[in-house]
Amino acid sequence: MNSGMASGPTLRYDLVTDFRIRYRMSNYRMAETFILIPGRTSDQGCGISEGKFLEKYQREINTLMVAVGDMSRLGLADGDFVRLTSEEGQSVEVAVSTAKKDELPNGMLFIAYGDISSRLMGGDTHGSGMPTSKGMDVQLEVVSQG
Amino acid sequence: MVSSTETVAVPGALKIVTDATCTFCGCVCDDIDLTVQDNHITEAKRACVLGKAWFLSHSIEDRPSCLIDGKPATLEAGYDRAAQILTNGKYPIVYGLSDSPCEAQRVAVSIVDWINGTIDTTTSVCHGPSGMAFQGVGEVTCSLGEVANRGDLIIFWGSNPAESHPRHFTRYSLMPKGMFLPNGRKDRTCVLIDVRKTKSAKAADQFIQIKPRADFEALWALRALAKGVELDPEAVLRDTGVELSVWQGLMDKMKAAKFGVIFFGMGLTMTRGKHANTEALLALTRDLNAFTRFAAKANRGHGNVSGADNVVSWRTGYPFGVNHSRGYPRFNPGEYTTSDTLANGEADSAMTIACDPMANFSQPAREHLAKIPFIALDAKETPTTRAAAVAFTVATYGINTGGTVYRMDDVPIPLRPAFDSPHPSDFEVLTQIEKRVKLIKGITS
Repeated sequence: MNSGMASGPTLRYDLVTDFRIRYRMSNYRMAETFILIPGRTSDQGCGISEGKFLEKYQREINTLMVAVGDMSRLGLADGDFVRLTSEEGQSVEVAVSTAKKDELPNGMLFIAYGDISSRLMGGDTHGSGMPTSKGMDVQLEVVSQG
Repeated sequence: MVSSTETVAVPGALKIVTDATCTFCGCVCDDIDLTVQDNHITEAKRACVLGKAWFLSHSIEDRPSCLIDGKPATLEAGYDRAAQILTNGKYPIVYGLSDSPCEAQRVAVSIVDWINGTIDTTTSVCHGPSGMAFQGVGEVTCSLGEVANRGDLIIFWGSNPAESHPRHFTRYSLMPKGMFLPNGRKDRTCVLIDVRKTKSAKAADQFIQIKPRADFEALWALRALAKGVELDPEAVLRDTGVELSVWQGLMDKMKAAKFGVIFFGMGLTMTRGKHANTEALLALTRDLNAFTRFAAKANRGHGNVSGADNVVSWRTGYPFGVNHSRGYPRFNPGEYTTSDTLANGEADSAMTIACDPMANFSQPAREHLAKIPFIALDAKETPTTRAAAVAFTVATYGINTGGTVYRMDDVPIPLRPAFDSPHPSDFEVLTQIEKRVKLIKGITS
């Protein structure tokens, strides 16, 4: 039976499949590179004392601030979810919120120190004892929109 | 510093504690008046938003003082198990300490010495790179009192005190009417340098927004300007995101100041470049002393992280990341620091004191910590205490227990507890563990 030719599934042009693929591609946004700055906020700091399992602290550390221009360009609204993937391949999903008008330039994200920001850090400290924890390159993909 | 202290009993079980010390952040404000009722602080006069949350949220924790594998246990059983874990390990590590008084930190270093272990503090993941830079460049420094009385140019670089140290401006750096600054804020100029326009920008006279990860380039541009080196305006704008004329204007202000201070934060130390960023800032500060008086201060986060640096330095000669496996201390950030000993899978047992690595460390480090037996001491329940083999609920330092802490400018300040706790202090827990470690090791001295 072996004729020396590679065998495999028969390829056939399928108009419907082609349309579906093209439709999906038109709605698919490539992941974009952003710079993530984790930092202290008042609510995060208070939450440490009040209780890390309480809603106030959890809400604060699980909200990603996105620049006004980026929110608009990506069609995001407060409460939508995005996926962030670090250079080391760590990935998290997080809700977004619009930053104050001039607090963040486009291309920069901010999140309060906490579980999410720490998960995006790599294990390597580059001989310093400190993993790169600010100014991290992350890939952002839109996961769900309201 | 403290001018007076008194604890006044008021009828109706109310107690007023004057000049209490807040240990939430490195400002360590020691002018707080507490109203205490039924083992609960109901008012913290003069405290900031973080200080109020600190004082008003620390009442008596309704949890067992000791949990072994998540089940309530006696303290004695906890001490025994903790000593076994630490002495059974071939690579035991002790980590944390920045929210403990110096007296407890001292005992923790002793334990590490007996078990040939590795000690590290939360400094390694905040200003550890600054500690490395101090060793490389040196530190032109001053006390916060000098800042309050003399500082006429205050620069914040990569730091957001409005949210991290809310009383910094009013108590130390901007608002005080000092000996040589009788008009307070009017006699001072404040410049904020950061990658984002934080809440601190409102307090500054000038905000300079630099490109992310361009601190090193910006600082070296300033060093060049201090020396009168001619720079290419296009290259400066490309590398720092800021016009050369802006940097030249800042340099003119720096040279014209009578007493300038740069407060720097983790915007420098946590960003790519890390200790090289801080070295550049410290070197710039040193350069400026050829023209005027200039100092640099790290804005330290935790209440006694400066104490941890001091105590570990007294005891071992190094501030953090110290390994005793050969019977003498060795210092090597990147090898003996906890992020590394965990993420590299080297530590085989651990004790965490007043810190939360299960929430704050990288994923590889957390995953390894979860695999090894460890002891956790904390006043509050955290992801780390939940995962610990032995978890001690300890009294809160500064609220339930006394002792000494170091403010961010290395000034020691006493604590004035407000009410007793049924839980042991971390000093008591560590002392009991040390006793048992010595028994197991056959140490009689």
